[in-house]
Amino acid sequence: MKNYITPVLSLILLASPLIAQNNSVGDSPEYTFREMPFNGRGTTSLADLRGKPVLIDFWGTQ
Amino acid sequence: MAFERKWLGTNAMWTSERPCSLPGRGLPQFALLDPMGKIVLTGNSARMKSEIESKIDKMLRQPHPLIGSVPKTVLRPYLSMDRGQYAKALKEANKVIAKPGRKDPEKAVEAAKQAAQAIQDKFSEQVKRVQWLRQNGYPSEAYALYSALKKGSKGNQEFASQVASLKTLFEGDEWKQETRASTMLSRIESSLYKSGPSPGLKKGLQQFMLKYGETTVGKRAQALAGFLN
Repeated sequence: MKNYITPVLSLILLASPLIAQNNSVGDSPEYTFREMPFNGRGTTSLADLRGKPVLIDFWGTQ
Repeated sequence: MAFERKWLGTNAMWTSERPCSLPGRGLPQFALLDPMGKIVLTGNSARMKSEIESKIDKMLRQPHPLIGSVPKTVLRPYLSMDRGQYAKALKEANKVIAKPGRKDPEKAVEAAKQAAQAIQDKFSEQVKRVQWLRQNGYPSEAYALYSALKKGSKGNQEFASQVASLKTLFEGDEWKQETRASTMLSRIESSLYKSGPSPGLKKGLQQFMLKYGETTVGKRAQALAGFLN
């Protein structure tokens, strides 16, 4: 699976602020990163990733 | 943490920001977006691995997302553009503009003009991306994209000229130094992702910085060193 889920955006949740509005199936979230994601190769927003499936994976680390 | 657990080393990007918010508090959570940016599946990624894989398989087998929203004659230029055949794509769009056919010609011409604009915009964006990659420490990725654009621009003078303007980015001693640095950093990254941040690896990265610190690849490595310290 790794080969064709490109790009895959993994998120490490540390202390990110809560967003009031929840997204659900059918929504098209828009987001511009404040800092370029690590290994992002120039990705600055979700819109940059259009054209391929994107898996946003939320992980918690302590 | 991610380095110690060897989570990195794939095509995945990492960030502590969250570009969307999902209901529920359990982790790990996921949102799967289709190629148009719409959320198609959410849930617990640890429990729904097979559903995620199956949904992605389905998305990849689906016909082009524009099917149905553009006249059939205008789909071909988009498909060529998706394959990186920019010159061919523009030629196909211009062909529809010149000879739209009998079925709803005005709509076909309008859609073909939009396709032609989309092709030109995408090409310019890719040219800028080559420059960005080259200036930000990704010389091999920049060269790969440059080569693909060169191939895809054959037959269109304007596109070929834009690609030709990039040639100097891949010439000279500075370019050679960048490619050497890139090869070296790839080895360090590969070892980091495989074995984690060992003291030997940190030392190797320091030595790399001494030798290649002034290159764009060296500047990218600074960010990596920052994560390790």
